[in-house]
Amino acid sequence: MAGKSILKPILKIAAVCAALVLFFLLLWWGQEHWDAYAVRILNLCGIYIAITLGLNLCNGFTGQFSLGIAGFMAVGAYTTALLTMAPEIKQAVYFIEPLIYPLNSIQWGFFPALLMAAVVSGIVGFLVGAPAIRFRGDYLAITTLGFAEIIRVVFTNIVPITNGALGLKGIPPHTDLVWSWGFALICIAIMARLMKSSFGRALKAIRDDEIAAEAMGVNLFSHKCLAFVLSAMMAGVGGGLLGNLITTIDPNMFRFPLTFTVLMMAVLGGLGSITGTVISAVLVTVAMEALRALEEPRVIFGLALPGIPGMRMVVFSIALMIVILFFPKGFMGDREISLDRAKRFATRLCRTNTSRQG
Amino acid sequence: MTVEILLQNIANGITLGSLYALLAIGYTMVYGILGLINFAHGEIFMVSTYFAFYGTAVFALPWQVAFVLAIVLTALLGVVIERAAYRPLRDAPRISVLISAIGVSFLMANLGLVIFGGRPKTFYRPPIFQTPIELGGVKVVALFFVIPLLTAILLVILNYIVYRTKTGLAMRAAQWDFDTARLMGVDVDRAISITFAIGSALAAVGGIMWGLRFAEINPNMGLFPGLKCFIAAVFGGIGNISGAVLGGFILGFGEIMLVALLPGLAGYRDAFAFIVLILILLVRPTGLLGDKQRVKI
Amino acid sequence: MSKNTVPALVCENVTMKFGGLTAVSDFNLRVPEGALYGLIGPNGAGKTTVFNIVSGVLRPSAGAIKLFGDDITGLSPDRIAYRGIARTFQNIRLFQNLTVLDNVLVGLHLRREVNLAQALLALPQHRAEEARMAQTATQLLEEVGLDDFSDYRANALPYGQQRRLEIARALATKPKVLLLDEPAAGMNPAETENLMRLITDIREEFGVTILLIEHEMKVVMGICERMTVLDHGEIIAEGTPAEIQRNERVIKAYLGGGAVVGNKGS
Ligand SMILES: Nc1ncnc2c1ncn2[C@@H]1O[C@H](COP(=O)(O)OP(=O)(O)OP(=O)(O)O)[C@@H](O)[C@H]1O
Ligand SMILES: [Mg+2]
Repeated sequence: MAGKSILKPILKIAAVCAALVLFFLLLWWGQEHWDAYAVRILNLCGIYIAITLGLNLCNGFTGQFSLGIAGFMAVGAYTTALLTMAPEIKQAVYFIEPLIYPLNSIQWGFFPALLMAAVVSGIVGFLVGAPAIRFRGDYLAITTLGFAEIIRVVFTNIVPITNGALGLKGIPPHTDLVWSWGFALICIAIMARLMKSSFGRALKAIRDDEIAAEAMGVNLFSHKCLAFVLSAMMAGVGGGLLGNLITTIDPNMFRFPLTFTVLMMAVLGGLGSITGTVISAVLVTVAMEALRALEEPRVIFGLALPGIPGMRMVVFSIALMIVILFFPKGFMGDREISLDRAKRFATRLCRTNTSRQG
Repeated sequence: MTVEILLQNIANGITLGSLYALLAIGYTMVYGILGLINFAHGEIFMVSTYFAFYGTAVFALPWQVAFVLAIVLTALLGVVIERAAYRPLRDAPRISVLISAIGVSFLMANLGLVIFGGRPKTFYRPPIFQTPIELGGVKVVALFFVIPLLTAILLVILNYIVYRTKTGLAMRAAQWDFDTARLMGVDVDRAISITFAIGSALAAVGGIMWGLRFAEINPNMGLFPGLKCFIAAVFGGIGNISGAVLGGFILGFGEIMLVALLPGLAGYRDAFAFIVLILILLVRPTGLLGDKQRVKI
Repeated sequence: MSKNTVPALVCENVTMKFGGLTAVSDFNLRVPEGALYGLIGPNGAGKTTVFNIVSGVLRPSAGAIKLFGDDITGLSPDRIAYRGIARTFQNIRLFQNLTVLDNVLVGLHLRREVNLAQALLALPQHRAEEARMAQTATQLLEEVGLDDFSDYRANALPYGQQRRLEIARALATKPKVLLLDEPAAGMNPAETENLMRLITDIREEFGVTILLIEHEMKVVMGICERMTVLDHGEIIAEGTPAEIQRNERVIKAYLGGGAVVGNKGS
């Protein structure tokens, strides 16, 4: 009996490790061998999973409705890009005003640059969150939106650091499937662990009733900051991965529509569900690409159809409205698909089958 | 800065302030009654300019008719949006309504892009508004007098409606205590519809003035002027109409003066409103003229 | 000074003003350790306001709150909970979307010994603590008779059980002083009977000092040793149940105020 109880977790860990290794080997292989377009979309899926989880941590699990995610993504994207670009390229890109020292002469590896992106966006997240979390509901939404806008305006104006409205070009394309999905898995793991811990319960308690949570000894400031900072870090690293995937960034990418897209993923999947977020982020990312066709001119049966700019977002806004009006909890609500649940479901299925046969 | 430029800036400040005030009233009225930031208000404003544009440029209506029609249609649009997107969520969590509002806002901005096209359109400006008027050596066009004057007249009418009519009483009752008002037999739904109609109509007036003033309209013009006006409403004390007007003027003036006095910071113009908002909320969360709301524990 | 002579909870000249309204004025209270003490008074007398002040939700306009001699006036609610005061709410404030068990687990969060990093890495300390917490929470649910419902969502429980869950959640914070705000409100006579037994049991088992607001006279008179009567924010009487029942001012306050003694809605 005792032997079995030790053996079981070890077996479990071994199985998980093996699965992970296989998964990453597959991704590593796929990066080279799969269709480049598919790889690009898969990369985007991984990145959006991470960012949407971050948003969901703050907006869904903790109930702090923040609209600042695009700002944190901008911080992370610029940090990573500035640290990974080659000095010669920087010199070429910054032709209006040169990049300040020491940024102009350094070039870091991707991993330390992403770490730095996490740190910087975490700090910015704290600076934004610390004053903003005193506000509730709509006010928090609009102040965080305001902060994101301030970040964007500042980035447009500090030309010697960000190159202003021209943005950055020639960012090294470091992001591949292993990076993007690796980070997505890290975020999933963090969220799953967090929500299974006392801290996660405290966050959900804040969502349900702030006053009661505080009366039960939950420190609102530190817990909300925890959610805010973790969320900003996920967005920041996600932004860094995004920048090094698409290789050009500029401040206008990080406007409200970007936040809207991420918010939509979270709402469709269910504010408060990790699995829902993952599924929804993948579906919406793929749909985004599929619907891109709507906005590009093309010829069908000899008929030249003009592309209709804005059509994609119309479709998505309608989808969002339908969900919020008719299925306000998204397709997962705050439930999760877990192995246990799946197993229980399977046994129930088997049982009904056998009973029907018998 | 010469006196002339100063006067010109003051005129600019007053006009922009008036436009902000007209929009801010819609935000403050809706927030007062529903506790919701009507994200779509900015898009209502945007659509109103297109109504007027199509009326004058496409259907070639006389501008007076086109403008009045645009105002009526916009008021209807506001009512329809409330019915379709907010009313079904009356008893849902506040976050759902907020998401719905954001969704409507986005839907309208992008529908605008699809229907009206992304390229800015030139707004028809009747010559009468461009008549030059000389005042103390400074030449300004009539529009600079029309905008504040019209705003003032509308405010008087609005105050009459809110404080002197039965409808206004119902609106204020619903704002004070939604559930009690409902129990006391106030037709809350009707009060809300009227609130949206009035707010949207004022936004339409603002939109038309905007078109007359800046000549160019585009589908993306809603969101940020809209949010700025919400900030003006918060600044003045949310739910308070005079506060919204005051906030609108302070914000409009502040923006113009920031650019005039500190041209180096002109690039930060769009961040100005948000910085003001955050400072206000930190220092005086109830705004200049607002009063405290309490949570019962 | 030995602990027995220091009262568990003291309010000294506490005054609370809301704009022009004085909800509580010059309020004094001494609750000895281990007592079961009542706070009564007609609607709007200021009872809940006293709880809000003691638990840190409100900062009094004047006066001081002492817990076993330590001044805790003006501390934030979570600090006060940590110091050892827990409460329930007159208008039930459970974590509606959490399970019954999770509601109690949240109450255990403040005395955690594991930090965030340990929890995220699922270190053995974390696992051990989670197991310990689950066990404690289950015991508390047994105590209030809700152990069969631990997987239910809190908002799926009937009203009376929600009140019991609030008590279990408050006990989870390991309070020295427990504030119960109208725990019998909305309960039927049988439930009220059970509740009275529960409250006295809790005091025995947990050695906690209890301050109780209650409109149901049967409850207060039945289980409290002493009580203070508030009316319009002022103390009008103080004493044992027998003394209070005979007190002219109390009878007048209740009858004159139009409130029906012993029954009240939310
Ligand atoms: N946060 C607040 N702001 C303004 N007034 C308040 C506030 N809290 C309570 N009051 C007022 O203070 C008075 C006392 O209220 P309190 O809730 O303490 O009464 P209570 O004795 O608990 O009555 P009940 O039996 O109805 O619960 C009431 O007039 C109430 O309206
Ligand atoms: Mg009370």
